[in-house]
Amino acid sequence: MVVLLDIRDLRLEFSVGSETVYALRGVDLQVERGTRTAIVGESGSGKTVAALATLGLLPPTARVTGGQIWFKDRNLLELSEKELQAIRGSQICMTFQQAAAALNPLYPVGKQIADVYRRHVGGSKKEAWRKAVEVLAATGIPEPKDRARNYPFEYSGGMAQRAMIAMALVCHPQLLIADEPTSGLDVTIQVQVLDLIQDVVEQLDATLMLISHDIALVSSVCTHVMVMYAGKVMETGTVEQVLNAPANPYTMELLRCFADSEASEVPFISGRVPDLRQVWTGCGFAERCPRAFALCHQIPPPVVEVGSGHFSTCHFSLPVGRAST
Amino acid sequence: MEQGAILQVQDAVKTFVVRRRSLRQVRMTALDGVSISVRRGETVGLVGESGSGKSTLGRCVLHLSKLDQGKVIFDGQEIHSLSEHDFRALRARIQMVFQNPITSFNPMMTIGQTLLDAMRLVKDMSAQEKKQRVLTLLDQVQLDERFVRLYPYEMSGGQLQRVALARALAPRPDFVFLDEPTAALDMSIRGQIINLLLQLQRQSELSFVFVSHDLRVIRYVADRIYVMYLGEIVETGDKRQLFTAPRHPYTRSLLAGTLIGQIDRRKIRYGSALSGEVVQKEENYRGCKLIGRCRYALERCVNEPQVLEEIRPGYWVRCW
Repeated sequence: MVVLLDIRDLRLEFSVGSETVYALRGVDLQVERGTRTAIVGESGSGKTVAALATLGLLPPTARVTGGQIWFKDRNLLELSEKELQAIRGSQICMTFQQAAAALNPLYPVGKQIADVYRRHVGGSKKEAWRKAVEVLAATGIPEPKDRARNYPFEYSGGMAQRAMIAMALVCHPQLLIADEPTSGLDVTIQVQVLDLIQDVVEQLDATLMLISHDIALVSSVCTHVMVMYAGKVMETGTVEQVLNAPANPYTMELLRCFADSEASEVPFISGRVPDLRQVWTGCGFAERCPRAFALCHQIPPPVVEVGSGHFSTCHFSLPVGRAST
Repeated sequence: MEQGAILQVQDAVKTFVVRRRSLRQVRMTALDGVSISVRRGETVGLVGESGSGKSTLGRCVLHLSKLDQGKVIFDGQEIHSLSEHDFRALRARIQMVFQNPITSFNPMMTIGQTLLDAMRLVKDMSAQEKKQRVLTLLDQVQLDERFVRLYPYEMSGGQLQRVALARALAPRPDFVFLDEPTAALDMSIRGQIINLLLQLQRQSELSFVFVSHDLRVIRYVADRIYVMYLGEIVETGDKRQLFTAPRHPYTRSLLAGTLIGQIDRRKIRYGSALSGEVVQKEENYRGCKLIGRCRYALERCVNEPQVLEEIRPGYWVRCW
């Protein structure tokens, strides 16, 4: 298997007023070509930040303090803005969570797609417009000719998400990063958008990186999963490995929250997400972990290979097959 | 009047003017004859997509919006026709948690001031007791003392959502309309908040209407469920029956969309989802509103009005 995106020991912090928020604390993450990889985690776990760092779209308050981001044979962190621009859009595309807010409110949706097409592919204005209408139709927007002339505010959340996917479609990227494509959408629309993303990825023969807080939802779309918590990757593996035989206590606890049952108490993880302004030496999940011992608070957990290609960051990772606790 | 009901809404109708074209007004029907009832100590789940009228119903119950027709009966008393002045006496007893936590706060007030303000109409507590209650409430929603002095902009959406809950519970209400109270929360703490609500309910016979598009949450909290589509109740009944044997095509597709989220991959039933998006119908259209999205549609679905029919005791469906 060829690794398309290889993030190594990425460290990143934000300056908020006089304080520092340590958002990524040594993230290691590999996305293999042709896979559909999900990045799962709660808010603040660092999943979106890692994606933004990949595209060089970090806000000015963010500072990368260590690590590398290899895309094919280039370290994206060492590229100039100009070189990044050549990669962004044409090789790596990203769709954003609030699609309607990510589009420019002052231009018709069709024009925005046509502009992207002209920038990355070229061609006349007329040709680009035709292409825009074509991809809007391909993403299932009804009456695409009229809809192309509409402004983002005239689109529903589901349609705006489709338009963003359409924009990715004109660029033929090798890697598509979809950030929470279904959050805020109605259930019946969620299904449609997920179907669409799968179709597009297949059609482009692209690699998908799907960012979501919903571990259950990604299981129906992706081949691989990475679970993040407080700026660290906790567990990686195939969907079957991670969801059916989790080795990391955080993954197990998270899955328990999603389990479908009719118990009178709703499952949850006790305690709170750690304050990312703090620095700790041990495991970030130790405070809430049912399996934590004294050493978990002091010594950073090792990355253990518990099965073929299945890794867990924990002192007490369970080997595959004994994960039924 | 149904026995033991704390809240009843009868035949609520609400339309909005969406556009004016010279003399002609284009109206949208947000509530099209909705009736619901909530018993004392009960949690009623209200499910449906955006635009189905869930939030409008809440606003009308809370006197924040006026119904065109219909009644709202609270604790045996018709309240919708009350003047704003008379309704004030009931405000403490009927509370709402709004969907968007960020815009539902006064940006000029600290969290402590906001919570104290929510108890302004409560007469039987001293100022000291109210201050103490602010801390208790914050603790219950898992926020520590330092939040008392913070302003809304200094907090995350999830934190504000919890303050919104604390604010609704502050005046010790009998009934709370919860509009997507957990949508902004992470999975790992979502359970804590829901359990808190259920615990308070057991202690003090609180009644809830719990609005959510997440059926996984509804499944935990609700006793009975109402499913809404474009301003109409399309199916209602006991939670267990509705989850195990849904009758209406719309309910079925909602459930299919939820099963996608089940971890066991074998249970994924993709195919039964509806096609397309919600399409508003003309004001005087009387057929089934799911037309165009439903694959079981027949000719009579367009031409004949559908009625909500009781197919089992307490179980109603609006489909042939």
